[in-house]
Amino acid sequence: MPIKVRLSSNKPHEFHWQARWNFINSIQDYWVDTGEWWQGEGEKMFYRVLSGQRLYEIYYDCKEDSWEMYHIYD
Amino acid sequence: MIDFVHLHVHSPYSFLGAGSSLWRLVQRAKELGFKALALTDMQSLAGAARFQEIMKEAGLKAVFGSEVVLFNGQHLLLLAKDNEGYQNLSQLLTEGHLTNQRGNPKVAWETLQRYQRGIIALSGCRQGEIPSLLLRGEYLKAKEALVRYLDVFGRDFYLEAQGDLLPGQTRLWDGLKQLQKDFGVPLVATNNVHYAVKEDFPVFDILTCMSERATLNDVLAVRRLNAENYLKAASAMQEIFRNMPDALVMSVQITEQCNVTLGQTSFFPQYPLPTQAARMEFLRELTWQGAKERYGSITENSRERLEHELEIITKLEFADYFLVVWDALQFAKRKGIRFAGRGSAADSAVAYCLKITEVDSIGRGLLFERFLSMERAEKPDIDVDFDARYRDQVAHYFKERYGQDKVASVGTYQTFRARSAIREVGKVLGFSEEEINDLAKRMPWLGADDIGSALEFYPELRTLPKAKRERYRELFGFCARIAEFPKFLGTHLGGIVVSNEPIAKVVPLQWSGKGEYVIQANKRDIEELGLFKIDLLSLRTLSVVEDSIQEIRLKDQGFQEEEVTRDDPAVYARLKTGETIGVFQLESPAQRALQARLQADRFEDIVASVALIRPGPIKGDMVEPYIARRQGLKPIEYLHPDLEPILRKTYGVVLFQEQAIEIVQKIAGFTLGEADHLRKVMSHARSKEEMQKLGDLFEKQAAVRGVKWEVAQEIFSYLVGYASYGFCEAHAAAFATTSLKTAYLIEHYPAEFFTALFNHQPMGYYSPNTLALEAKRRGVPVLPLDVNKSPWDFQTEENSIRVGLKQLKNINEADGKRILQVRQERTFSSWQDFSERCLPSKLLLENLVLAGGFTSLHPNRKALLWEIHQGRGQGLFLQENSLINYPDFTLMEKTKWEYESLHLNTTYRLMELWRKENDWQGYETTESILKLPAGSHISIAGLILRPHRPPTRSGQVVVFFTLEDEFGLLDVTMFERDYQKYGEWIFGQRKGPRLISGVIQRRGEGISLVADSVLPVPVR
Repeated sequence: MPIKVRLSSNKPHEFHWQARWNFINSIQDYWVDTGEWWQGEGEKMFYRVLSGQRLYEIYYDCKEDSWEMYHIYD
Repeated sequence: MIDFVHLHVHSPYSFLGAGSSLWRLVQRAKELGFKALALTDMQSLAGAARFQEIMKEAGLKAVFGSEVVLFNGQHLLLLAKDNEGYQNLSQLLTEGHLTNQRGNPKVAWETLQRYQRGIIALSGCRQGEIPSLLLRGEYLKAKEALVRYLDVFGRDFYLEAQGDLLPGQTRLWDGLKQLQKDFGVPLVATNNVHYAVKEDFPVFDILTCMSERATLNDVLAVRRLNAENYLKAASAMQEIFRNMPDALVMSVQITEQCNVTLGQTSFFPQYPLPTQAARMEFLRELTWQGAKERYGSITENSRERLEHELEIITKLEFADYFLVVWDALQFAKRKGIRFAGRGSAADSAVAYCLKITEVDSIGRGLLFERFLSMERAEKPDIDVDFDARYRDQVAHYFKERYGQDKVASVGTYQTFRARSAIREVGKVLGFSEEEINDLAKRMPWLGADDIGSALEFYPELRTLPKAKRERYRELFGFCARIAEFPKFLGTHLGGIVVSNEPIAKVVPLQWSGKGEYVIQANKRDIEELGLFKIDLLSLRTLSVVEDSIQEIRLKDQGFQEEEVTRDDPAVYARLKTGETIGVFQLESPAQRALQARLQADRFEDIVASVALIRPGPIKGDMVEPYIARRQGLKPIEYLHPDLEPILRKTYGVVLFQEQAIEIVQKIAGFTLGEADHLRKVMSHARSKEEMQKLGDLFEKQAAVRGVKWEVAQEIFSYLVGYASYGFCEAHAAAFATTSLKTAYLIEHYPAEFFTALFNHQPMGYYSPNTLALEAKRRGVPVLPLDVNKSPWDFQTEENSIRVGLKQLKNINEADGKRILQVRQERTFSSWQDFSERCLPSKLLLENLVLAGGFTSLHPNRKALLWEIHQGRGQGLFLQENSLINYPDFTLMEKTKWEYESLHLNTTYRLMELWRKENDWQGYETTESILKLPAGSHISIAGLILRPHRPPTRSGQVVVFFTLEDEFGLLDVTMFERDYQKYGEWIFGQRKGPRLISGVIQRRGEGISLVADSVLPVPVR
């Protein structure tokens, strides 16, 4: 699902989700996924972030130039 | 700029484990300003020699290492600190390979302990023991593991942090940092490089799928999630490791510790005599003794030449080189194994006196320096052909003589050709089996890098469905990108290395497919590693010669082998007709055409023939001037008087490498070293720039010696034209000797020779079916298969040849043995008798019927098949012989089935039956055209054999093929314009006879056709 993300020093700083801006306490992990290149998919940069008490996975799609919410941990 | 060195780098020598060539990796490292680079292929040092060479050229420091798989499947990265470390790494890899099954090497812990000296170890990738434990959160176990590694490697063990941006990196790095803190073990940054640039990731991904026999749509754990394993710039690494700058610095410190140079020591084997002086003395003795036998009385000229050669051999301490080969050939002689030395060794009179070669280099005026000289930078090769059946016995002798661990086969890197690339990349990209087969079969025999342009050019490819063009283009694009990548390490056909040290200390060994040791290096690496190679080649022609002579001697005990190499008028008369099918080196269509025009009447003509039909002379348009001058149709002119003594024997044409060397020495005063450099540039078709540089030097030095600039320029232009064929006269003369032997045998003993030829298939240029036609044409009919008469091998029967059981489809040797054994008791009286006593499989029985094997017992093949299918002759029907009156196959059907089951026809040829059946009228045959004059426009029906498109100087396509009908063969040429129209019918998949129209050419005694159309023959 598309989301808005604000950056600080080139890294996600807060993201807009459920009608409010969520501050990112820490980036727990970061990785790059090339996806199905043979289908024309673009590279995605994933961030596992802690915001409040919850863990989220968001990614930046380099080809689409957009941020998406990928996973929310219960 | 921050200092950093990539210490974990894979190249294609990881075999399907890298997406960029070694050259590209090194170039990229240079572009990015690195001062050094490591090469750490999977379980292999196969790329090491080449790496050293390329790194040297690039002016970078090479670090050698390998990523190994341990006994428990976990990875570890090892780097050689010094030459001892390299030796240990090589031995460690060897033990990993040789103590495990082929293709599944694993290094035991004890092996690591035994060979750790001089080796630096890094904890490795995510499949390393420590990283995998940390990723699972098992820190305590990771600590235990670290203690074990420290116990083996001490201060030479490092923790490896990779910047490949995969999930879990934070946890992994945190664990590594904690270990660093707890144990004081330094951390080093790497990037586990598998390709030079990010754009090469798809190639790497495709190769990974290929190695797993998967498609791109398959989800596999071994496939990389991202394209981050490229050769990142130091600044990119700095960004990733901004919180661990010491890890970057550590890579430089490790590099400083690693100082290995390959090939500094020579590992020449020693002939078992105590001192170099003793060995040299022994060589001298053998040489003079051999000289007496070869020359009778030794002239002053011969004495001088032999002294000169012996002096150079002494100075270079190469006595062992000759003695080791001589010794092996003594073994071959004792065992009666036929052999013939070939290659540049035949330039040596010492080799001739030692009976390593049969070419009298003094008599022929051959240049010893082409083989060996003080200035020559590389060790020469001695190549010997052996009767193919016994070549391995000679290789085995080396092992017995010098030790099992000091002899191994030379490796060879199997690379992707167009067809293999299409098949394998096609599967990964998800093309259907059917599509792949169709594409691969249409694809000409090209290197994979040439197929990009093939789609537009070749008519048989242009007919591919347009809708799929884009996908094909993508496929071909990837195929081109993996061209020349080594797929796997194979075994060189003949090369073995013999060393004075255990070979594993020099280069790792692994198992070959034949279960022998093969080194992780190919023939061009040998020199770089300081090893000695000898080529023991299997040549089936020698087996054919041997068998023919054995057979002849059974009938004619007085037969003298020396006869076969004398100048025999009958042999030359036959050569002049171009009827040379079966003659070694002279049987291709181009050679047959040459023979008909050259009108050979002496041995020298055969030597020239062998050298003339090569891509270089053909591309350089040397053939026509040679023939014209040889026949006295054009004057022989020399651009400079000094060229006359050099080129006299080849009528003023530069034909041999030795001549090129002599020309540059004589005209421009090149040193032997410079001349040899020119030879190498020419024979390896190196760059135009390099050739130009040599040209400038040649012209400059020639001018100093008073040669006019225009003349020097023209002389050099001939040498440029000569470039890329690089055939040496000594080699041509050695081959020509065998050509003459086969020509003699085929002329005077065709039954014996063709029998041997059938028995050693596959070999030569033509199929058994064409050989059967040729034998028949020469008055030696091939008799059908017969269960009561056919031996296992083909056999001479009076003046004919009986097809052997071995020729039957799907028969194995055990079946054959059983049939022969049972038949020895008494011949078969019926097919049931055969079936009862031999217990053949149903398939074998059917094939025997279809091949005509039971015809002498019962003529009706169809009825026999019916009986077999009904189960008669077996079980309850054992005694029953109730062949019903069933209409038999037609003659056409029988002939087709015979071809299907034997791959040849005996009594009838399909072409003659097609002709009758379709009532083809008005077409010429290969027999009828013999009466027609040149320029006649004809149509002729026949089968197309061996179509090919060799390179031409103009770059235009010229197609050559042979047309076969029931009377013989006709060579056909088609030029590009017509090929573009009719190529589909020459190279396409549809089988059957073709109707070819064109104009008859007559040159010398030869006849050929220039075709202007090729179409399917109209059938009823």
